[in-house]
Amino acid sequence: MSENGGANGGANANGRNDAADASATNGEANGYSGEYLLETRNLKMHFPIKGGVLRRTVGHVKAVDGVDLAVRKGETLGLVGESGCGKSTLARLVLRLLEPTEGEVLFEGEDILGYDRKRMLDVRRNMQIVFQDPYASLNPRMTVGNIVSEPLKTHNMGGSSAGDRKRRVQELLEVVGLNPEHYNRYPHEFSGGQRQRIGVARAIALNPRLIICDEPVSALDVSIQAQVVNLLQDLQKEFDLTYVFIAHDLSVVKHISDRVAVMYLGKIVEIADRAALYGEPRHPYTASLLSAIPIPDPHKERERQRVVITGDVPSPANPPSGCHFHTRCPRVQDYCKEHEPGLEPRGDEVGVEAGAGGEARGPTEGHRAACFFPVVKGQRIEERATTTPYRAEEKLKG
Amino acid sequence: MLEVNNLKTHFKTQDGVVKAVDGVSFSLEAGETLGIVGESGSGKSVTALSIMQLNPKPPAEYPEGEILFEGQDLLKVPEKRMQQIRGNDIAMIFQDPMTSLNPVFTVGNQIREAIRIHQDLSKSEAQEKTVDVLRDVGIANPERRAKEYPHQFSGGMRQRAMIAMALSCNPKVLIADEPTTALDVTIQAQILELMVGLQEKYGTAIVMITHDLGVVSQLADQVMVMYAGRAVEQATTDDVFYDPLMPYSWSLLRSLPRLDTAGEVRLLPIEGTPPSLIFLPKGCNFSPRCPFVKDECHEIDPALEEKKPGHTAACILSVEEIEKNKSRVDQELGVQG
Repeated sequence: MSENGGANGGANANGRNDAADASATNGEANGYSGEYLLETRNLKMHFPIKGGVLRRTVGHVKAVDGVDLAVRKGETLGLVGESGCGKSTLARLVLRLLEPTEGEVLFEGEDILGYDRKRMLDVRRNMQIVFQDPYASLNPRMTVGNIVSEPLKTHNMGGSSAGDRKRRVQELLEVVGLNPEHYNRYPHEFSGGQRQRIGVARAIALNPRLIICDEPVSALDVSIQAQVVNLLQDLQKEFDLTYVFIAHDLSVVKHISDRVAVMYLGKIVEIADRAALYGEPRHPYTASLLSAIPIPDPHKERERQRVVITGDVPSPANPPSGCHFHTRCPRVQDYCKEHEPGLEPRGDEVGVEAGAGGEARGPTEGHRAACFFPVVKGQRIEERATTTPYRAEEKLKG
Repeated sequence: MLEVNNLKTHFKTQDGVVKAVDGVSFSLEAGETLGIVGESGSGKSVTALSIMQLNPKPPAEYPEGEILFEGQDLLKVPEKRMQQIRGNDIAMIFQDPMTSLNPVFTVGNQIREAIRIHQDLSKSEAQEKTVDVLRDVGIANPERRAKEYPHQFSGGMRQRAMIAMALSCNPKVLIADEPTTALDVTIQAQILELMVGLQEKYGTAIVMITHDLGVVSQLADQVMVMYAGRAVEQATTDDVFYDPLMPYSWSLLRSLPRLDTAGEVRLLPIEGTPPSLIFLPKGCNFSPRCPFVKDECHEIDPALEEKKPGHTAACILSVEEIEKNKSRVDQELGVQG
């Protein structure tokens, strides 16, 4: 919602209004409709850049710059983008491993940013993370048993006696497809794929509701990736888990996600159901990303029209004016350089949009893209749009 | 132009002999691209380093085989001659553009050095050539950029600089070892497009080493699939992708989440992990993980044999047996047609 930034001064207010709408329809006082497990509202993380002798703040790296997301219970939300777009920072903000500069993180409808340590501990029980690097995320001096039982100890779960806990850990190892007898082994005795399974066992130890998977398979070999992806899918079914699945590999994300959000320079530029996002991408960035991925099918590869977007991702410390993507966009027009697009259509209008699917529900439902000249199905990405900028007149009026 | 026959590269270690490459053969013509696919530890990179004669000796040994480049066996030529060939006739691009450039010299300096080693050019002529090759690989402002240090370059630009350096002497063979693995997809697309363009322009033969089957399908004419130090399947790209005859290649294709299919199909996990190269399993190296395995597989070590014209695979199953197994597993996974 508040992606509008400068272009729409009432950005913040808008975000609040939507929340109010949602709660009104569901008649709950705190805005928790019961449908969304996790929501972020206008979430921002601006890391200060220190410079000079006095280490004064000379600028900010806007790693996450106004993100509104809503994750439905039981779904997998994929989050994709190139390196440096803020995916991992967003994951850390949601878990409060980093304190955001601005915004709200709602878990089951309650803003957890104000929570003290004790209450946070309760929340963390329900939100866990699986890290990218299975080599760095397991303590080499701890046995697998200790690694997996640590969250149980912290939260006083899994039985009171050491024996109970051991049984629980062995059960968990079995669930993720490891030999329970390997309880006393150290991480170095396992392969990359097995280590990632240990990471998954640790994450599900407390029966959490939400698991953030931060590039869980990108460090693994192709043949091992499928093992971990299948494991995550099986666990989701078995334990009714909700995933936020972060990856730069759009094929893996397509395989596992129900909905997908695309990030670019700290902002979400497009969000939609899987089929819509991959089938009819609206944002030129999404469309170019998809066309950049080589497909393991030689015939299709030869026939494909590839749009190679030029240049590198600009620095998030000094993002381009207007639409952040305009420096690399194949459909760029002068208008884009001066105005910043918001995610449109907005949540409260989604139902109105033809073909957007479903009635107006929450703040990030439907197919939404932050572009003035979205790609229309059947159109080539680099084709110049002749329409007026999407919603431009309304903005000028507003 | 380049012909590798029964190449074996073994490393003597305290724990035993690591057969990193164990009998690999292929040949490559001018303007052609060979894709070498395999997981980490399958011997792809060691094959490349063997061609370049860059494996440290000891521990590396070449007990058998030959690498013929324009008729001369690179395993036998003296190091002096090899230095002339390396970089000038056969050049290599490495995976990690962050570590393959020297951080204390300017990019231009490093390219100029490479040019002057192989070509009899004055400093200013070499400088001109440096700027030319940088422009060739699509670096804007090449004069200014040549004076910059690697840390001032982005990842994609560093890889462009590496390609510029590799191509500065117009090599006949370019070995690219995972050139885009460390890069984002949009940058990968740029680099691959660049390589294809330069290949068309100069007729370079390319050995493309990668674990990404998509990259191979985009670039390669021929494909060699490696597993545990051996070539397990060799054929044209189309044959390997549409009619794989080695269960490993087929499983790899089925284990990939694909952008072009619905994503509703369950992935085929290849159970277990690649074997240790010191203690290889008895029989076929892939037998402990093979979805088509039968009893004999644990006994007989299959050699690479021609299953169909121009299509070799290392598997004791007949073509009919393989096809039958493929459709059986496909049915289980829910793959259509």
